[in-house]
Amino acid sequence: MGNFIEDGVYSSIVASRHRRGNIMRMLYLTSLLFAILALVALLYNIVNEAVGLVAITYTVQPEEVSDRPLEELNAEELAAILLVNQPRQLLVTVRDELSAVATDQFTKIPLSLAINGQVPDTLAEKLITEIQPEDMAQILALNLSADRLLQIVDQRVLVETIAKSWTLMDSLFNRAAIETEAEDSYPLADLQWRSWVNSDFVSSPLSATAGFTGVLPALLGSVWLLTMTAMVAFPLGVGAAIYLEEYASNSWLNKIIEINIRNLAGVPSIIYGMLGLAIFVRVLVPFTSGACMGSLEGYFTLQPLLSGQCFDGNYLQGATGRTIISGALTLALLILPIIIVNAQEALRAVPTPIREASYGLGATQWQTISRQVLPAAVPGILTGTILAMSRAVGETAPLVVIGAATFITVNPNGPFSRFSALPNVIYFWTSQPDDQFRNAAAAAILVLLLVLLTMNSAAILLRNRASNRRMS
Amino acid sequence: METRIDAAQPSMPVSESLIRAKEEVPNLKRKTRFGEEIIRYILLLCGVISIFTTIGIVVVLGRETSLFFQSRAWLLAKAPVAAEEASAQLDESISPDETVISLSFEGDRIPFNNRHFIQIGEETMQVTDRGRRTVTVLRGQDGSIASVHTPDEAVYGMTEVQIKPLEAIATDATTITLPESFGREFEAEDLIQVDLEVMRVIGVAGDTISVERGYEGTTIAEHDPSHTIELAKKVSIVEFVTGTEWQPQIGQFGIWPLLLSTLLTSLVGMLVAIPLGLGAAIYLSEYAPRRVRNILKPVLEILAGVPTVVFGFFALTFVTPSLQSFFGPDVQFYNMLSAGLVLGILLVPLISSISEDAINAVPRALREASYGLGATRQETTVKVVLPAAISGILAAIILATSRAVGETMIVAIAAGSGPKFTFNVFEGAETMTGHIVRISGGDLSYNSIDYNSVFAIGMMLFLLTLVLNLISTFVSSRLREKY
Repeated sequence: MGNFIEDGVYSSIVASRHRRGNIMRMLYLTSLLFAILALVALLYNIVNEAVGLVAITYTVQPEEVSDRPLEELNAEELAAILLVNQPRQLLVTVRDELSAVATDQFTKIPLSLAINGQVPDTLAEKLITEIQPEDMAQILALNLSADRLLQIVDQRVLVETIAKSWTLMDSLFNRAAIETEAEDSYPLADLQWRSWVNSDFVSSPLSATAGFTGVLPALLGSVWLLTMTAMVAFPLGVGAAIYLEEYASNSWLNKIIEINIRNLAGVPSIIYGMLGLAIFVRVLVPFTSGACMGSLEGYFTLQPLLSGQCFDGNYLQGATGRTIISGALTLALLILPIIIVNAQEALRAVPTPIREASYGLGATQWQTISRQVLPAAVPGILTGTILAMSRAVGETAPLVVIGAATFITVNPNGPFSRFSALPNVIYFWTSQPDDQFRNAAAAAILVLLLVLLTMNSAAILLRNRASNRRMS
Repeated sequence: METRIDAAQPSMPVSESLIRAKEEVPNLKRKTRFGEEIIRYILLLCGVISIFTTIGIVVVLGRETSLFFQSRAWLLAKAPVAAEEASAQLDESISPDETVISLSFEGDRIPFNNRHFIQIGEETMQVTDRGRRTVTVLRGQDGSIASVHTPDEAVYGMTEVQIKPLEAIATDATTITLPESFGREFEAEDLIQVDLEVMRVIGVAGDTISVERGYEGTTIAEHDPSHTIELAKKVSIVEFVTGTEWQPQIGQFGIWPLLLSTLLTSLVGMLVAIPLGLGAAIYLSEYAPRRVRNILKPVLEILAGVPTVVFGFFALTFVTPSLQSFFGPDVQFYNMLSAGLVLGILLVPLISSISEDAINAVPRALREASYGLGATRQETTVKVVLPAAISGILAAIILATSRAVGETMIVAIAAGSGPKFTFNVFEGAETMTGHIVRISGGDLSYNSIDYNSVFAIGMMLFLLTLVLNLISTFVSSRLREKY
């Protein structure tokens, strides 16, 4: 045998190797912790921007319009304040708050159809342009709550402006500095705590002022998109997965389909947006704008489709393909590969003996699939689908390319309406130079994260139930 | 054999139906029920729809890209005109091939900008760079000839003016008179457009150009001298792939500014994501006790579920100010570095989960053999496990690169809003995806060259990610160790 290593040297070599191992272990742990730290920093940053002190100034002081504090007034009194101070804005206010139809049609339809709410019988058949300001105030008082009217009074009569906002950390730890700054630059302002995420935020329409903006149209748009995407993608995806797992032989067509799906899963989402723009928004505009179903006529009818009129370029003037259904179809194409791959895994996880037992009892292939395999695979398929949907909810780029509106006043009311989505308003507000939109964007992010949390919790619950079932 | 069967036959009378049943054995496998056939074809259709998607992508991108290379950008015809007064003088004499010229002037800053034209004597030059008291120029521009110049010769700054016809163009006119010395901007076979009419230049004589009217089926009309003349410019594939300026207003369609920015942000992202992701994967699979793993792994998965807009917000409102306070004022408000860093954080869960799968797939026997030979855990990991899992790790890295290249929102928010060809990561430069989002977010008229250029960029992006994905599949299947 060759050289023996002396005892002391040997143990020191071993010790140094172990030391190196420990250092590397610390390094690996550090990298993991660093990634988690980034997540913590992300959440801290969002909450930091979403809550804080604000300096509020009024152009018109509340005392000038009412002797009693505004919070104590009821709806009729607040509507009367609007009437006295801003009579010319009443029509716009009624339209923004209560309109049930598109902007250009609002002034042409009788009130009973145009308004989303109660209309006094004496006014029901008139147009909005024919009634007096007192009547408009009455309609507002009938249909809006005192809270909402208080907001409108703040916004339009008092012109409540947020002069400056501060982050949570600043508001908690630099209170004195903020107070001196507020006294110097905004002497008339009130300093108040404000959480930019509040019930008003979730129920108000979008506004050009950061202080008053809400996310309701965007939230509804996201919900509409989610539902319609699921309706399209789920059957197609599960169907394709069933075919590929159960029926497909090893022919060249099936191999191509498999490779194709793997590749599609890796295509950037913006390419899907461009595909949607070129095909759904442009080529298929008769269908996606709803022209074939009478959206240009104002009511549901199949007449344009049956007569071929909806394919005529002149008829389609003013029809836009940038509708919810285009967005939903694009998102469906986007998440289809994910659903297919997930469903395939879920089907593969069903043990073969179950299938063989079913065949052994004389069942046909479809009976086996529909009665044995699918029910066993459903939790896994649903989990995968919900995860894919939560990916779809957060996608911005395809929707921007399709043409989601950045500023929209009306809530979406059908598959053929223009829309906006939560991630889009976040993108829009983050790119604004105005600092306060940053707070609004943080608030919208919190809403979005809440939606995602709900969906992912549902997916995790389903997954646990599935694994419990399999083990039992 | 026959005897055997005979002996096995029962002595009881065999019923008629049994005999008939033996003869007409129903072939259950072939004759499926009709309803099930329909279901099978419906399911096949679902599978085929994915092919339609790919075909759709390729056709749409390809068609618009070819339209892009066929359509013309109409640029205002401009010619540089010298100012009345000289802004500077030559410091010393220059020969025809010198490109760095020193000037004397009033004030501290050279009164000329980059890409500005200047005139010395009869020669026009274009400024490419500025020093403290010198400029670097391209000699002999705009058809002039480079020549010797004497000291103290006046240097005139030039502005570019639009070229308009000197007098009205009647419907039967075949020549257009231009203001003095502007004829130099045109040559035969150029296509020009005045108002809605396209004309082809047949020849140039001094300041008069002779044209063919109503080219390409446009209607011949009368034009008065206020209408500007536009020159046609087609984009060639070579220019697209090698050009370093993307400015559609002046007809520059070189993709390198956008491509370089994409590559730089992805590079920064990978430099962040690979060490962090691999380290996290190794720790979670080799070292972490089960309880720690059950807590930390879901946390990492949360990171994977956050939408990219939120990361973009984080980059702009947290990372950029932190970088600015750390590195000082060199860091611009929009910069590629913060976008790259956040991109890296986005990719860590991806690399970590795929690498972890690869590491877990390495059989325990290999590890135990290594321990048996006396290796420490770290040595086993680095020298045995990682090389065995290398195919999966490489596949993860390439997949993450492909994801980084295609990532849109982080770079659209944080990396900048104008194409710029720069290697300095502290500056803002728009990426391919950010550019597509910005252009499509505005009002885009459908048949303009801007619309088609978006698809040309998209085609480039699609090819890039496709190649990366194919390499990733290839690597993971080729290098995979068969256990």
